[in-house]
Amino acid sequence: MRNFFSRRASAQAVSEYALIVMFIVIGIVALLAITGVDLQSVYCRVATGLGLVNVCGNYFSDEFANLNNWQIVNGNWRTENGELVGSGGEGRIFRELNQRDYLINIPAANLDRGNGYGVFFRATDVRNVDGYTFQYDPGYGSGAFIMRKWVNGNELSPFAVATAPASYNWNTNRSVQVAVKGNTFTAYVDGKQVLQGTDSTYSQGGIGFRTWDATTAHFGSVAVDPVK
Amino acid sequence: MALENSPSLKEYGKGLPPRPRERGAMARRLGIVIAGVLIVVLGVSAITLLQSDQAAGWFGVGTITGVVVDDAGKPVAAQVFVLKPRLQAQTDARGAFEIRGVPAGQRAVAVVRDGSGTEYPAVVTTGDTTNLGEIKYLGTRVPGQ
Repeated sequence: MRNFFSRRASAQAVSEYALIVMFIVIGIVALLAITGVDLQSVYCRVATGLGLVNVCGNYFSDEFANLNNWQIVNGNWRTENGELVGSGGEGRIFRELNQRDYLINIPAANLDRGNGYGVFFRATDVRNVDGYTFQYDPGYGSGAFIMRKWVNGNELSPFAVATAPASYNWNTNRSVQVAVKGNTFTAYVDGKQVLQGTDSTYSQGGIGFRTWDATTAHFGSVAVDPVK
Repeated sequence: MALENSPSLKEYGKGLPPRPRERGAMARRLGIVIAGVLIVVLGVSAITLLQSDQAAGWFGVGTITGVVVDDAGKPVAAQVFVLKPRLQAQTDARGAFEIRGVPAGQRAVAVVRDGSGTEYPAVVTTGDTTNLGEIKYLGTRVPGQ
């Protein structure tokens, strides 16, 4: 009888602890949500940091069979042979993404002609866009990789510029990656880091593409993954 | 323990007494873990909250003024934005602007017109007016600017 009550008391204690822990977890989740901490992003960052890279998968990927998930703000955007093609002056196309940190991976991007193209990140309010662009920009000076900030649809002077070598071939197929992590943004072309910039104005938002002037550019696919 | 206080052998007649329950120790460990988690969560939450736009004005606000001019020094019409938290003003005919209620501290001011613009730093102190003087509108479409 004594053992029975003892076991019962022990089981009661465990269930009390479980309830306490459950209420604390609920409180923690509520507190983090109220104060704006992105739980999914934190979870994915921790999981990715621990090497569990496939836990969160990618945030999205698109092979450009159509543009149903994209919002064309201006310019001429279309799909051709499974590629996104942008042309027609100042063009912008966006895909919503409610994430802070991520890695944009464009395995094949080709500037057919014109002064360059841009990749938007942390873009919000796309009609009057706030956010950033990484620009593959042969038209900037003698040709450069730059990062710009956008305010209410206006592009500001670049906050990061790296001049490309004089002999750089701009009109060939290249892979482009942009790592967006905290206040630091790093751009890679063909796997090599070409530019890094820092800014703290915008903390989250979607991605997109940009053309201007006489640009025609092709993008084979795009994937957005958790960043390490 | 004194010898007279030692348990007699009779008490061990049915084997060793049961081990004292560890409920108190378990509760203490659980309490330490919970307290640690709460400290971390509260710290992360506090940092996030302090970095938010809502918290920016908690430490007082000031005013930013200035005059936007072009390369030739002539006043121009432009929009002026304070970034984070977003505040904005339109220049008047003299190119002058005033933005009130700007949270104290290091701020960024963007001067834009016709789709492009430039960012300037500004330090705002509580209750004061920060006069940026003449600030140039610089379009960014021309390479190299």
